[in-house]
Amino acid sequence: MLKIFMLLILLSALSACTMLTLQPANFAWPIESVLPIDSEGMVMEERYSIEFNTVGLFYEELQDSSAYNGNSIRMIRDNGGYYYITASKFKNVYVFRADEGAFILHNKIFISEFGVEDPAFNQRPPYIELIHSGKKIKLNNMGIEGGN
Amino acid sequence: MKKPSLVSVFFLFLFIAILHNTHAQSDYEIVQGFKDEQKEIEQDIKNASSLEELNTVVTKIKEFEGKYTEHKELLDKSLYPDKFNKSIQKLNAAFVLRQNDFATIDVLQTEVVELKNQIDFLNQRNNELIAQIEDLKWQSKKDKKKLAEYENLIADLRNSIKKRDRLVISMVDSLMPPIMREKAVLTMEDKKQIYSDAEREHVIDNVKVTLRDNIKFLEVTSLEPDDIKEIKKQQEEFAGTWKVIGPKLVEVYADKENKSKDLSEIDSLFTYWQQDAVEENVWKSIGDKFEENDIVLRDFANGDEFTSAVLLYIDDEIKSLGVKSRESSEKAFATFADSTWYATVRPVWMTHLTENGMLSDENKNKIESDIARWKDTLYPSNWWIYLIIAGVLIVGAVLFFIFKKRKPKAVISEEVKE
Repeated sequence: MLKIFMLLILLSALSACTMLTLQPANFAWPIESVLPIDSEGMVMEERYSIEFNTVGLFYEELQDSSAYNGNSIRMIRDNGGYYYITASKFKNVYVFRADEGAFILHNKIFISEFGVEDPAFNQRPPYIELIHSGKKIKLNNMGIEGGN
Repeated sequence: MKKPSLVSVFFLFLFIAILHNTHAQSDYEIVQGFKDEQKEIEQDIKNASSLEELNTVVTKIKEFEGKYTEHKELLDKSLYPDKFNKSIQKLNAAFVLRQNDFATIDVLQTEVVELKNQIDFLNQRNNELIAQIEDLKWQSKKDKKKLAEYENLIADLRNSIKKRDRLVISMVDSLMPPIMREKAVLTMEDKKQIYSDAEREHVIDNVKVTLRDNIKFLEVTSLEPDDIKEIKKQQEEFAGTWKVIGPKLVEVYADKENKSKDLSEIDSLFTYWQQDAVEENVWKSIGDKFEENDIVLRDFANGDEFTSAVLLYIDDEIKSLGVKSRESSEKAFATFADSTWYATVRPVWMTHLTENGMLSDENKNKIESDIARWKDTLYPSNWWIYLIIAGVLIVGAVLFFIFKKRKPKAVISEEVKE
């Protein structure tokens, strides 16, 4: 009985190993997108056809679900397919991964206690470069390169 | 040589660090800057109002290209669907296209200026010719030499007017490029352009002068059906151009009251030239044929009036048969029928009149039957004398045969007696 059980485990492990994978893949956007938020809190990225709601993001960052009004977000995608989002006055950069019909928070990278002024993302593989107040910070989906 | 102190090295590094940080630039800003400057140059190309102004854009394109070459890789990735080189190519292509526009406009403007000069010259010449023709018209009836001069002047005027008409049509034609004609509604920019061109070349005035001269030409000359055909062709050509350009000009001048009046005057003049002036000239030319032979008819301006005038003249002549001398009556008939009606009016004009519905068959038949009646009255037929002579001859012949047949019987009876 134990032998049969072991055999089944081995077979399932083998089948997992044969799952089709296309490599290498690069999901990087060449430049960030600056997306204005509409009255419903929605943003639309036309070139890559992405649309999502930002109300939850503003609530998470500012504890104010109406703070999106008249605001815009900056967004970029790295090689690995993670999305980096921030906005002016945000203290954090939010790293998301795409899931079925949703963005799932993968990481929240703390940048400044005073909030970032006029932030901008640059694609600098394998990193994402964040510029704020003339400073450059290298980011990946795990956090700030070199860590702090 | 003195070694740099530690403080100096520190400040140097600090300076480099600050410089580095101030150059921290967002890729997004670079791409956005590129797009904005590209749009600005495109607008400059579009808005250039002269070749000189356009030529300044060449430098801008070169500077623009030079400025962004270092970001070519980023721009190639970021610009969508175009890339860096393609964007520069597009600007250069737009520049060349606009440059061609100016070259065409330049050529057209030169042509229009030349046209204007020629039209001005021909306008003046036509006025002089019309004045001379009016002077000579009456003298030519008495003087053969003057008649030849008059005919030459008419031919000159006809050619001159025709030449000027073509020039005016070309000028009207050059007001609007074909693309503009196809537009359902003109833009403000189109209207401005047409308005300034039309005003500069006095197009509206020239069209009016052309139409007036054509009407005047019809008033002062006697034409023949072939000339009328030529004029109708000319009118069709003008109508074809005016049909397309006229409504657009009305649109352009909609808010200029005086010019709107001018345009409606052009419409009236054209309608008069096309419909009434030609017909009036035909009747006048026919009247002149009678007048040339000293036949005075009552004035007429249409088929019914013409028929009445001719019938009245014939009737008067018939009535005066006993009053005037026979010789005079015969001369009147010969002049009317042989030298005018059957010599010129009927062969030259009758087909034109009937084909164009200017004279009905009924009226034509009435005139011809009256001419026949006039002839019969003047030269009554002596058929009854011939009938009597024929009757006498027949009776004589019958009697002769009867008499001849009886005579041999008498001889036979005499022989039997013997």
